[in-house]
Amino acid sequence: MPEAATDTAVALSVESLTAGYGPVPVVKKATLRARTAEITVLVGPNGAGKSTLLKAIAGVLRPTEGHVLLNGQDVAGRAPDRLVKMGLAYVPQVANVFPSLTVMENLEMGGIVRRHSVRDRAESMCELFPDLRAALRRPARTLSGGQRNMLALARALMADPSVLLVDEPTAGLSPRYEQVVWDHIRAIRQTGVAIVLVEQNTRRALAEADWGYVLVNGENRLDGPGREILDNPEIGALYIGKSTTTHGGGAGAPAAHNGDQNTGETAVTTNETRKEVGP
Amino acid sequence: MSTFMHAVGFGLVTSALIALSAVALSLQFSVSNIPNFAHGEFLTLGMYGALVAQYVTNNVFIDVLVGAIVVATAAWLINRTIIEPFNRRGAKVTVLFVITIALSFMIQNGIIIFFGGTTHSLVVPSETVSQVGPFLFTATDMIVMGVSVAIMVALHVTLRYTTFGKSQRAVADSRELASVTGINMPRVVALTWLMAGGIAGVAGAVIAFQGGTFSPLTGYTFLLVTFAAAVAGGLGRPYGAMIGALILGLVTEVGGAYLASSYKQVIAVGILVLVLLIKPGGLFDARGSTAI
Repeated sequence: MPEAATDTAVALSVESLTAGYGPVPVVKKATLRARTAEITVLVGPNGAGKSTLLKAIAGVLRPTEGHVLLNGQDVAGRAPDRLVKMGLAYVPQVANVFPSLTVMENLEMGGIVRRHSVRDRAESMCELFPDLRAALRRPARTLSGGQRNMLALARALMADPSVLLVDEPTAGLSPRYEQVVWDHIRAIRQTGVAIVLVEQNTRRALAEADWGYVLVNGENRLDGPGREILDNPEIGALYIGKSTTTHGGGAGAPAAHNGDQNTGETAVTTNETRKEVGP
Repeated sequence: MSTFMHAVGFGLVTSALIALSAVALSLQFSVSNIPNFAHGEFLTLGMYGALVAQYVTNNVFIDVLVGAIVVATAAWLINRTIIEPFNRRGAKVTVLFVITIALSFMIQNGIIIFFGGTTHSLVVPSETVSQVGPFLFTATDMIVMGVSVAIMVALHVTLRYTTFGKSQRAVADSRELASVTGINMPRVVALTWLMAGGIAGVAGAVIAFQGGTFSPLTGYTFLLVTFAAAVAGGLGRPYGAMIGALILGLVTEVGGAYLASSYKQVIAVGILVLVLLIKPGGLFDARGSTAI
């Protein structure tokens, strides 16, 4: 991989990170870089270790090996609440809001690492996510799936992070709401946050991404600008699915889902020579 | 009619005692996720704390306060030195539950070593009986109910309106999410043990004042009725525990007045079994949603 682009700063740098549950590692020597004001996506078949990698970065899982550099400082193995204070925010895929707390209380908890101006920050979150304003006093468990994901993003942004990790923000949402989520993620990028996304909707994610990483069996398979990965016919056949010649409208198309990914997975294992990731 | 009203009066006082004990248990459970079998001994420690204080001063409030401080400290220490280290090594809830059973016996026998196995009594300054509406209450009864209501209100204000209380509710909802939100989860859990211990200490002390005499086993005998109230209200929901205590106090006292007072425990268990049969999640279960 070429050195980090000179115009944007690397906010998060993960170097040969190994992590998992129990003795068998799920993520093996994974590498990832996320730059300020860019969307970095992490794609790969089911079970590739994408979510595990996010958890290891966020401190939920203790990595057994490797480094996590957050704004230049090695933070691997630190407690999650310490990482939040240092500017790392994480939105899990499920259970990403406090259901018995009201929407406002969820935001307050998100801002717990702030010493002051929690209200002001909550106000700007309501501007960014207008749907939340009308629901401020409602318990979060009464929100719809899409609203919950909005609240989860807002909750994470309350801490004013420099790096935002998001696990499948569009999972289970209707296409219309999926569009809304992507609009918001682009808006968050505008504010200068380095965003790292795990996505199941591979096509869409790569189309939106500034940089993409393909993870297979817990290892980096390849990385590059999102469009480049998407437009590479070989990569398309390798991972995304068979219909690589028709992916021109990828951004809006219903996109490759799990069925395609599974066929992709078997294809990938026959193509061990593809290893473009390097320091 | 007057038998009924007297029983209701007793029931309210009993409810006030059970509520303190059940709310402490429920709060601690909701945040720490450990069913504390040693909760009865927390009550007992509160009684003996108040007893020691009474050697120095006859001020009832100071005695209760000392009981609270003793148990708060004990609960905090138990979490710090026993529960938390096991937790960090990934011990299962069942293991921690068994540990609290062991703690229960250790504390009970520790008290016997220091104070002997006989009964002790706390001296109540004066016992004037006054008529309040249809009820007859002693001064102690009034103090017990006043203290109980004051603590319920204080707990409500803490949980609803303070950042710490909200973070307690957040930890009760999801520990992992609380951590990644920036909440110092171990600290919230530790302070919850302290807080629940304090309330349990108050409960023990007022149980001793109200009952007059107590022994190293008195707290333990309250464990069943405490669990019944907490479970009826949905274990892990302090607000449910308040209502559970009210129901349990009234039904056991009124039932006991017409049957025999020895049936009170039977009635308590009967209510527990009924609730578990009909609504396993407690009387206020909003389809398995979360605590507090």
